[in-house]
Amino acid sequence: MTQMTRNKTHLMGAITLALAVTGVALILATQSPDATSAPVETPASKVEVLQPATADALNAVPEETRMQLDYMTARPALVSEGAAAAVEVSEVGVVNRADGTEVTVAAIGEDICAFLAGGVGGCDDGKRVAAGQSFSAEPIGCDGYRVLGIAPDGVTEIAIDSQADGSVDVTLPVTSNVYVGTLDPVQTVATGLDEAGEPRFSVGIPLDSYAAMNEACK
Amino acid sequence: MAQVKPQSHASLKRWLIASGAVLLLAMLLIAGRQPDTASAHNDFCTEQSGGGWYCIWYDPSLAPATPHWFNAAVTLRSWNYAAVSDGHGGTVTQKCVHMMRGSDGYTMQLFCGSGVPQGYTPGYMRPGYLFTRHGAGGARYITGDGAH
Repeated sequence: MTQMTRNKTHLMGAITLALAVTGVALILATQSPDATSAPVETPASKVEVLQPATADALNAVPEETRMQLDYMTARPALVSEGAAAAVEVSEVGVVNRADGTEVTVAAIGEDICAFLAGGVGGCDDGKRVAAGQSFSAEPIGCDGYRVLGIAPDGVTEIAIDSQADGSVDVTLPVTSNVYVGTLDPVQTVATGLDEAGEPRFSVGIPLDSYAAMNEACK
Repeated sequence: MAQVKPQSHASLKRWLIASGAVLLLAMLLIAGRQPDTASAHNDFCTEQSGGGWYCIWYDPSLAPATPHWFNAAVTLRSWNYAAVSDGHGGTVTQKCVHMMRGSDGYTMQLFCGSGVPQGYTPGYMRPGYLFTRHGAGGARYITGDGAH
């Protein structure tokens, strides 16, 4: 073999190696899309019921709700068909309310979730939760909806305006950032009040729209 | 030199084949990792590692008040969990997920709300069919998902 042939062979080998390394690097980059992501500031600072999700804290979560947390942690990867990574429960809190209901609040990825044991639940963006805009509802027969909402720190009760006419029809207590109430199926405005009775947020809860979409009650 | 040239051509051919194979392999692996963004389907199910199935269906432009059914090959399933979300940062508050019982067609509204309202389905509704619906002022990107 001549010197020129050896040089060509070495050059080709080097190029092949470079191509292979580039290919592997590209594969690894696509397999770890979040590896270089900047840490996301936890939204939990606005919801004091949330505490670090230690083993003890997670053990305090009812079994049924733990399965819901599992569902939400796996959901991003499932929704994206594997393009997004699964997320983790970073903070959690269990609220035992005076009316006997139990609500689990959890920070999952950038969302904050609330699950009423044996009932409705939901997750929403942490910023929306901090602004009092997160709620979920389930019909109670055709007479009303059980509403579960998350209120940010400092809110002690929720004033419910069931006709959106400017008058307060009922107030719901806020226990550890959570409120629950059964409300009429009408256009509703919920206003979060602090200890001094000052409004901290207001959110429209379209129970009339939900009722209009409920075929079982037509 | 006259004897070297054929060897050089053969070597070049081998190198081109090898390089092409490496590139093709890399491209195939990369393509396999990408989401199926060009796919026209909007219903699919994934078998979960712990058992059971997770399914999703979506409409990027769902008209108001229009039911959007989970419509994969097998639609009647023993759903035990259901959720609905929107592609607008959770701001579509007028959205719900519903279930129709397979045995008699009784339809039940399950959950509504901002963000991702969700929960377990009642056992007496299974097996059944799932659909989403919204009441916003125009077409919205609505996604339903469920497990069974």
